[in-house]
Amino acid sequence: MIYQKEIGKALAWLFETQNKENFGWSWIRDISPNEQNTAEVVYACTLFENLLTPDQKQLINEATKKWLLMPQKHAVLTIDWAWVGMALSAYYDKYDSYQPDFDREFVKKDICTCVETILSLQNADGGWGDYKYDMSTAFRTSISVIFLEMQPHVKGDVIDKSVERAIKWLLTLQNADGGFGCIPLSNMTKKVMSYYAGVEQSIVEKQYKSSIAVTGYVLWALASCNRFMYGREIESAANYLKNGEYSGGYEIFFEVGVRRGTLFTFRHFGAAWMGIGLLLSGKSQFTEPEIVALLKHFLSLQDPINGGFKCNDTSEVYTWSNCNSLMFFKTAIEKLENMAGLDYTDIIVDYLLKR
Amino acid sequence: MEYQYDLFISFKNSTEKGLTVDREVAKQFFLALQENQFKVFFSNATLTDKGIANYMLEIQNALEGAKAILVVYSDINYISQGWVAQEWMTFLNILMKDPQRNIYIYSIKKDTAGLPPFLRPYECFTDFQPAILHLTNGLHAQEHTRSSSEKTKREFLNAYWGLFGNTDIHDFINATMIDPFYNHQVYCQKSKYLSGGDEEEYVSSLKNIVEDTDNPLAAYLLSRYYRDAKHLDLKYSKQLSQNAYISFMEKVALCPEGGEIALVILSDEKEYDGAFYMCDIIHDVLDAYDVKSSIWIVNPNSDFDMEFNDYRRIVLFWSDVCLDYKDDFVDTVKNLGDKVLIALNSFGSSALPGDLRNFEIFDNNNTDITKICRTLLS
Repeated sequence: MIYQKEIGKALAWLFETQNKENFGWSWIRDISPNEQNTAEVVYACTLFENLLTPDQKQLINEATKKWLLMPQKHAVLTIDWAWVGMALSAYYDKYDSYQPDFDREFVKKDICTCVETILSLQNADGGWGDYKYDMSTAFRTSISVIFLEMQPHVKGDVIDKSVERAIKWLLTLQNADGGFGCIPLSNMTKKVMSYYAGVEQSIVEKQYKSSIAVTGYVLWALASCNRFMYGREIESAANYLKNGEYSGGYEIFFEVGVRRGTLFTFRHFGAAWMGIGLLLSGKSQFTEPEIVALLKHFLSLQDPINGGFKCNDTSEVYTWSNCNSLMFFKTAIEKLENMAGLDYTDIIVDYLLKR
Repeated sequence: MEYQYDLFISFKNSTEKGLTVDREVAKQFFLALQENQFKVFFSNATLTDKGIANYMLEIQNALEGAKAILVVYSDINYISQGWVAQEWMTFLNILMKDPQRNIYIYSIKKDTAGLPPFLRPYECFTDFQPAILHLTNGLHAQEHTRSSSEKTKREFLNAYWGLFGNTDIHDFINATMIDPFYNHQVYCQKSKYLSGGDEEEYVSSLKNIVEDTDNPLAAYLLSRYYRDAKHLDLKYSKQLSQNAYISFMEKVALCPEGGEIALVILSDEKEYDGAFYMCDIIHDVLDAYDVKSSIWIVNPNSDFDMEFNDYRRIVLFWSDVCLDYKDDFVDTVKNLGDKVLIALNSFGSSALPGDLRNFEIFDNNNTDITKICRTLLS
């Protein structure tokens, strides 16, 4: 498999940083683990389950048992529920390979709990905030849609209707330049603005202006539903991403949101979401310049000593940057593997001619 | 070393009710010792004489230049918080690096019961004349009879846990211990390893300790080694934790009940995990300061109905992120109020019931363990 060496090192970094007490992960080494980071790691590792050693699989089993099963014990925010649900869904599919000491049906039951909870947290406008009635945001809404769309075995009218309302809300976030903002400008009422008192104006503006992180994330959500149904919106979002100016690097989006009346901050890995969005929406192929540039960018971010992926040249390795990078690589590799034989032939011929 | 002052007198000067009796008594000490040709720092006189504007800096300089400190108090609250607490804590930090210095305490009301444990190892007077006599003799001759390579349990643990900011354990690993204690060898082996020792040697030394003494702390450290992806053996790791639990329970059975601190491990599994580890080492530190503590292992889902009101402090060591608890457990803890500290075994406070998140919460790491020790001893 292409990039196997790099991916193997990144996976090894995750197991080195796993907490030895409770098998969970935090956003960085030596910090108390939490369910969301643990879920992201279980999800990313499960994407490459074929590369895991039997020992690493055991460690994933322990993490799943401790942090993901019985999600009502730990999950609080929408983003927790969605990531735990996604991790359990991926784990459920690879259950036979993991061979844990708990029953597969437990996993299924907990996935259903995640689905039910996510549905119950949806706001009247169709989007999701961190808690019900919190202001809806693009990230919470997209991740909920992506998770709900991963549930073929529990799919029903309720999910379809919920996703339909969510997409309708997401599309209101699309700006004239084709990109998506995190919250609609119309939501910036006096009351909401009062929460942002003291926050730099430029940071507040970035919440509703287009960004590559939000656009990539929403593209992923739209593509997970029906990429043909939202063809026009997807096309303009993809163009926004492709036509961006990236000579100064890819943006780490600094989300500043309102959770139960207080501000929270969250970093999002623009390059990863851009790549995943473009590839899954079918608007970029593996060989296209924007994807090749992203691949080179990610490879340059791999820490030569510990093997984890950073989010920029100067940052440390975080579990989220490492996991998001792995998710991008998985998407890219799948795209490559699904390429038609004729395309492959062209690439090889082109390569040989250039040698 | 040349000292600028023979003695620094620390006392509460005033409250909202006016000047304190402590100030008067401190002044008497100042005058009596000055008569005996001692150089004494008494802030009211010294700072006025010098006309110093930068009060804080001068206090700090005086503490650094003093051979001893005398803490005078009429009310325990005057010395357990505020400026006086800061002065003697600062001096304790200085003293750790220079054992020639000394601490004296004078209780005006002859009430020494609530003295902060950090101060308990030092001489405490309750009568003025004997105190003056002792101070005049003591300040002249502070000879240390033991050799510099000999260390006490307290000195070792102070250095190991950095209780006074000095975390240089290197000198302590190979020192002769005056009073060796149960976990001493484990601490030494871990320190050697962390300061660049060989991993195989460390693991083999832990194995030897476990085989020789069933030491639960050594078994715990070894069990975590086998939880690492590189050396993974979860079955053996679990076995070690279970054996450590058994030997720890034997240790607990030998501990007398009662005391002033309750160390309560909340667990529903018979395994020595990070909660037990924190409890074990905090017990070591308290013991080094002669602070009596009792250890409880409690399942909060079935039997949390103990009486903890008589304890000065209660530390709850929360073992597992998945731990179940009865509804009335939360009410019981809430009723104990500010006495409670909560130590979590490597997971965030979001896993706690909402009502308990406002308590002082600590994590399973060296910095937080040190903070708990300092809180319990201050």
